[in-house]
Amino acid sequence: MFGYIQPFKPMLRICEYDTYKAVYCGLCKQLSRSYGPFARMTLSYDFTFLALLQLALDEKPPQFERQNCLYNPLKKRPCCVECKSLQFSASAAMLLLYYKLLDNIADERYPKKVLYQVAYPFVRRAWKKARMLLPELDEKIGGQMQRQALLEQRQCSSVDEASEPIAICLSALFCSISSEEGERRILERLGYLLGRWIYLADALDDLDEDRAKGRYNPFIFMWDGQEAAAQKEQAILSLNMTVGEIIKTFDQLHLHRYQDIFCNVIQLGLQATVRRIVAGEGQKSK
Amino acid sequence: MTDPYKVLGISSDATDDQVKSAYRELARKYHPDNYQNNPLADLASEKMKEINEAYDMVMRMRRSGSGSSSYSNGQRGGYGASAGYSAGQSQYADIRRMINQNRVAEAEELLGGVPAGNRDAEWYFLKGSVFYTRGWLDEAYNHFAQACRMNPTNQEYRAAYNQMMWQRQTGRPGTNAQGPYRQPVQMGGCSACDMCSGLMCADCCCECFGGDLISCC
Repeated sequence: MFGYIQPFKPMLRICEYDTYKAVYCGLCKQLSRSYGPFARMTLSYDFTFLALLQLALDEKPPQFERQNCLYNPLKKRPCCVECKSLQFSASAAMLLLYYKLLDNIADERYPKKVLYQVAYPFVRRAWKKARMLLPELDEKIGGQMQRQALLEQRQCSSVDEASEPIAICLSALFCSISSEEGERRILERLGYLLGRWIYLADALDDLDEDRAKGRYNPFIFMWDGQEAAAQKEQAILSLNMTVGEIIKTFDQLHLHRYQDIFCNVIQLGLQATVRRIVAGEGQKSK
Repeated sequence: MTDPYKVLGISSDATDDQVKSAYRELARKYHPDNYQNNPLADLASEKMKEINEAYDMVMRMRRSGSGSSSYSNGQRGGYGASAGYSAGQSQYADIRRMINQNRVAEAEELLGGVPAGNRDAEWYFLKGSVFYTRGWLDEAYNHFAQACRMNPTNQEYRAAYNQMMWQRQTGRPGTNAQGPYRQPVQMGGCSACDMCSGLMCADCCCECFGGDLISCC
């Protein structure tokens, strides 16, 4: 995914920051353990969020340990130890990475394309392993990604419809982290809305570039004929509406821990990401 | 039954005021108004019931207990879990029931069967509700807006539309939601700037009357 779901750091308490970071480090190590050292490079905030949520829903608290870090070898850091939440998030990340890479290879041109083609064999090996662990999810994600390619080909003009494939993928991912019926229903909607939000945030991030290069972007087709600034304005309104809905849905979850971290991510972090994108400091302009 | 204190998220030695404020906070969060048309409305109203019961139980226990409680009236503030659709006598009663039961695919099919010429405000409202349940928020907003245009006096359509409009403008859920970050950030109190400009004002006033507060200006 794209790393859009992240906390708003200035309002994070230091203890919350430490916990978040320990899970982030734990996921990084988990990626390396399960899918080799190259997988570390794909570490993202979005899957840290997924891992953290699963840890928060679990009745048993996770275990932390001070461990060495590859990127800072002199200092030991608190780190979440291997558990099923980290394993699941790492595998889910590999599934989505693979389909994203396929999409990139199809869309991009030289020279970026070569870069993606070099990465392909590594990613494919990781995907094969992840697929063994999560066969149903893989099938669902694969199907939805095909649907997304078709929607883009016929230049779908509804942002609701265009965002649905990725929303359904995340809905399935989030749903899998619980086995309790009521909780699953909440997670299903939460995942759907977060997926929708990620897709729309990404579309907003790409808006200027897509317009310049004549590529597909749902906001360009939905608000066809309007000026660039007006299209951006509409995109922000759609994103806002989605965030409001995410907050309501999230309220229904009963968390055993990390309530304040999630409050920060959901109520401040998402909006901060949109502000960053609008200010031209999104992921794409880095 | 589970521990009522646990339901309210407080410890058993909380003061009456703490019990009350914990109850209010939760009741706001799960208030049925926030979950109108929402596919999770049943979960929210279940939770609301649980909170109401827990609150009543705590208050009963405290009143019949040691008598140390200064709380004289255990009545709740009026947060009832009475929501749901007012089924109405409309021709769409069946469709409403389906939406309430989260059977959106069937509801959508029936709505699709209504010929374009017969689509009234109610039709747009229900279609909007179907979109809302599926997470198609932009379409939901457009349909609620259309329902309001066709029947500006209907409270139900208006409430649904206003809620979506509020979310679009603010990125926050309904107006009665609360939480640590839910209020718009306002700088309270007195900043360094306010202090300086205050002193400057005072100095000017003094000078008008022939005195001086800050001698250098």
